[in-house]
Amino acid sequence: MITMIKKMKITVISKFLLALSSIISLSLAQTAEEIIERVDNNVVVKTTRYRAKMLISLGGKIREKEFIGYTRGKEYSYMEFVSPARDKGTRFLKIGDEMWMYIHAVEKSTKIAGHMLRQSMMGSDFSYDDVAENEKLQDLYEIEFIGIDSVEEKECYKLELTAKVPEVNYFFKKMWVDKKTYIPVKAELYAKSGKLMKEINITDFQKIGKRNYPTKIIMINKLRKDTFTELILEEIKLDIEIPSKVFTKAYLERK
Amino acid sequence: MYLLKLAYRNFFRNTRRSIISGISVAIAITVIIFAQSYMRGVIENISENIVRLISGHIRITTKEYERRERMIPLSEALDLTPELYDELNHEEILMVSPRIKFGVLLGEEELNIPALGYAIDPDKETHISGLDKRIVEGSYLDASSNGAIIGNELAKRLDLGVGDTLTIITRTAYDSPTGINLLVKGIFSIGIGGMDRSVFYIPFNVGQKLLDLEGRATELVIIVKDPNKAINIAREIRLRGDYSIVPFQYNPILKYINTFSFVYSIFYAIILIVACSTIANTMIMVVFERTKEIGMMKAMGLNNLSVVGLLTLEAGIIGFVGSSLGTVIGGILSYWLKYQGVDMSMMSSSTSADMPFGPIIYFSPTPMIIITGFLFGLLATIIVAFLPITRITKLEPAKALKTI
Repeated sequence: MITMIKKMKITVISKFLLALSSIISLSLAQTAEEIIERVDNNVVVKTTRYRAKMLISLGGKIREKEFIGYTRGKEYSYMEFVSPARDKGTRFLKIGDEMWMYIHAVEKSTKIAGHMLRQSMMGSDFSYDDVAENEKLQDLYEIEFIGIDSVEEKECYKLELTAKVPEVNYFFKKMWVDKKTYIPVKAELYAKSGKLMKEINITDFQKIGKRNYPTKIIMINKLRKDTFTELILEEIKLDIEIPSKVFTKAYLERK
Repeated sequence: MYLLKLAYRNFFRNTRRSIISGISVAIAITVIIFAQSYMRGVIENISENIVRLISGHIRITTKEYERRERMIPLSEALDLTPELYDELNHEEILMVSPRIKFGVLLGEEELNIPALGYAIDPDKETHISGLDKRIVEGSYLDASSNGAIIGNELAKRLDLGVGDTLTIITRTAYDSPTGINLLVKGIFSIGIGGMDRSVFYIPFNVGQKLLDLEGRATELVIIVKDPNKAINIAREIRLRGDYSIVPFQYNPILKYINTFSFVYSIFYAIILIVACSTIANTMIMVVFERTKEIGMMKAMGLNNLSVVGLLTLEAGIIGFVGSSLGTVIGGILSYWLKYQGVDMSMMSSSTSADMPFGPIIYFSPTPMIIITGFLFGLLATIIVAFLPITRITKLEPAKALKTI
């Protein structure tokens, strides 16, 4: 009789534990999506206008470039370099999956082929795609909550993102999201082969309206030696009206 | 002397057979001398093109540039410091010329025509690549102007002519997009497909500015007084830094071609063996035909050595006549084509820029090729004939006389 009671107890406990673990995993799954939604709410915007400073460190030498950028949704992006003198007037226009480059010295725009969008932009660790990216992560990736971790003494949610659509720049991402600000303070970007391609660190942000918007991003291209690029965003205007003409070839090719 | 006379007379006993055997040797020797002179001509042609268009007599790059050369890594360019030029102050060095090699995509609407640009010192290059003599339309480069000269095939692909604008869009040494509009000053035709189809030249200073390589170059091309000393001079040059100093003889293409020459030697040997088999066959027939006669000669007191000597002399005469004929024909043909040259532009028009072959191959016979050709023919004939002849030594005169 006692043995039977013991067996019943064990069964009840094990069923309870099973139910508890299901509830926990369900709640964690919700949490992962919730976290990413809050990240998307911070970084994905309807429109932006900003001035950016790019500090490219290569072999200990730092080169500085400045550009003005406009973004509208995930489809439209425009960048125009204003310094240094040799890059002044170099402009980029991205509409959907297509990108054009205008070089002032030749007064001509050329289309950048698809695979080249993943190449270095202006010699930096960012690719053209990296800079122009403005799409919700939850639309592109399956998200898994891994646990709590700390980055630079900040308590973070550690997430793993696996692409659920083919049109992504990186197949797999590990992301550390600051619990307080919902800024992805660190991310490791992997190719489908599992090779680590890049590492991003967001070291500063600005409170703009309800958003915590990243203002200082450090990108390290793991495929290049002794290099990193710091992107500092200034004069950020979010969700403003940007004239449609900005995202046209005529504007790109203007004299 | 007596044996020689006898052998000479026997040569005419079956004139047709002797002539056929001699002709097969002659053809083999002609082919060998012709092929060797041609191969030497090809190697000389490629060497000359490598020196003129690719590396000079000695080429200096950074080691990292050489390692990743296929990628054309501008970031690994060398610094043209006064110290570097000082270190290259060698009594055997005639000229040091910097070059920048860079890859571009050309095209009107979309950049889809891959091309190779060279930024060169126009004045110095007249003594190295001699491009000024290859201009077929317009004029040669001028260091002071924003001009370009382009290959005739590339010009056709881009639909450009003299006076048109060549738009170059590429990346700097720091990977930034950059571009320039240049006036097409001239169109050249080198006759090497890869070069005419994909290469253009711009002034060195224009290239430095375009590619953000002020004070730098991807390679230094050196011309020396005596090209045969290039290997030693390259060894003697001492540079502070991680440089690769390569004489043109060590160019991978030449190494490859030289390996190929070995394969050709096997081919020559096969030709010779085939030709000599005719001699062997002739001598086997001679031995069979004249067994009775040989038996009689042996019975009359001629020893084995003399009999073997007689037949060897007979084979030797065929070999001598065939080899002489082959040497004369091969020699005359090769020397004629040495001065006349063979236009290989049909073939060279399809070669890549990495394989500078053609357009005209001048045969390069040497006395050594001629003499060794002759001796090979003669010796091979004697050696091949020797085997059937030695059968005679085992022949007993009495038995030999009984053969039908």
